Amino acid sequence: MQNNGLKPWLLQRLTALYLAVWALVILGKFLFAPPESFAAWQGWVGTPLCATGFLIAILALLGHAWIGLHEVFIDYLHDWRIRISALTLFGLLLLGSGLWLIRAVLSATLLG
Amino acid sequence: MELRIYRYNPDTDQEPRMVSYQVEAERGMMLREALMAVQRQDESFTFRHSCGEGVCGSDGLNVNGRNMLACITPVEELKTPIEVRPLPGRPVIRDLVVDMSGFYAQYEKTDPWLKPRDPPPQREIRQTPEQRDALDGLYECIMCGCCSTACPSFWWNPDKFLGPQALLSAARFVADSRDQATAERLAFLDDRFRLFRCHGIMNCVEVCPKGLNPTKAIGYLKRRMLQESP
Ligand code: SF4
Ligand code: SF4
Ligand code: FES
Repeated sequence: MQNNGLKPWLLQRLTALYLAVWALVILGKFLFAPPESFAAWQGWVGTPLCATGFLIAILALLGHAWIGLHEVFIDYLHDWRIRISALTLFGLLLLGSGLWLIRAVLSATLLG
Repeated sequence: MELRIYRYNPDTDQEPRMVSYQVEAERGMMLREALMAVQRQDESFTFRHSCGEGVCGSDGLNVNGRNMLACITPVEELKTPIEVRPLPGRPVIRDLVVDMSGFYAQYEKTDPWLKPRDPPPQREIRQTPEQRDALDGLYECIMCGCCSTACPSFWWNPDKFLGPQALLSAARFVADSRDQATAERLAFLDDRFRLFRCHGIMNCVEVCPKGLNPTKAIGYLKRRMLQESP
């Protein structure tokens, strides 16, 4: 991905598309069939189809954020040491939040 | 009419300064003529110009914060005092004259010439009217540099990002039916910097004195990349 420009650019757009669609699904759920309780919400998230949708959304979100940050850092951080440090820091941050989100979704599937 | 002009001689001046000049406005006067009038008052004042009719691309300047060609800009359309500065982001050689070699270097990287693979025909290489039309909006660039020096991405990475002018030129050769190096040209652009530093800010479109649209040309290159990629 380092020496390639089209792939990250394309991935950025595809992930954005998926996230937009998934956001609409969630919005639709809350508008037309709002969950009555947190347990009901967890149950809905835990259904296999929904959980898969969420897991893909999490991966898309992480990929989207990673590419976006990478772009901004390439623009503004010209010293490679600073850039690598910033990328590492934010990479770990993203990885941490990603794992936390995945755990939340998986625990919902176990409940359901 | 008052002009406030950027003056700087790196050999003798500590730092640049803005100097005011009074010039008699005449009917139909272009900014280039006003600058020539300033030069008659002060011979040490330096700026580039040549054709006087928007063809050579020598007198790209930053006027009231916007890049334009002095020779085709009527002074009556400008707010006074008219603030004239060199094109942004380029090293100043003297007053309004900047070093454009980095800008030309980016152009050169696009191999701005036709690369035929087949042996040349006895006579000219023929094009259909449609193939010729595909070059419209791409070939008219006069390389004034107004676009690239208005592009934030070019300010941040002027040696790695090709900038709108060079990308317009790249599109011009990708679009040319007589050129047979499309794959090579697109592969060259498929990199983190050369093309993909463009974030569609469209400053380039905003300032081009020839009314060209580098952002559209960049979009065209991306589309061709998508089509050609396996
Ligand atoms: S694209 Fe327009 S602004 Fe840019 S160099 Fe060519 S003529 Fe000048
Ligand atoms: S559209 Fe792209 S090339 Fe044009 S000014 Fe914006 S970033 Fe620069
Ligand atoms: S003097 Fe030639 S373009 Fe202005």
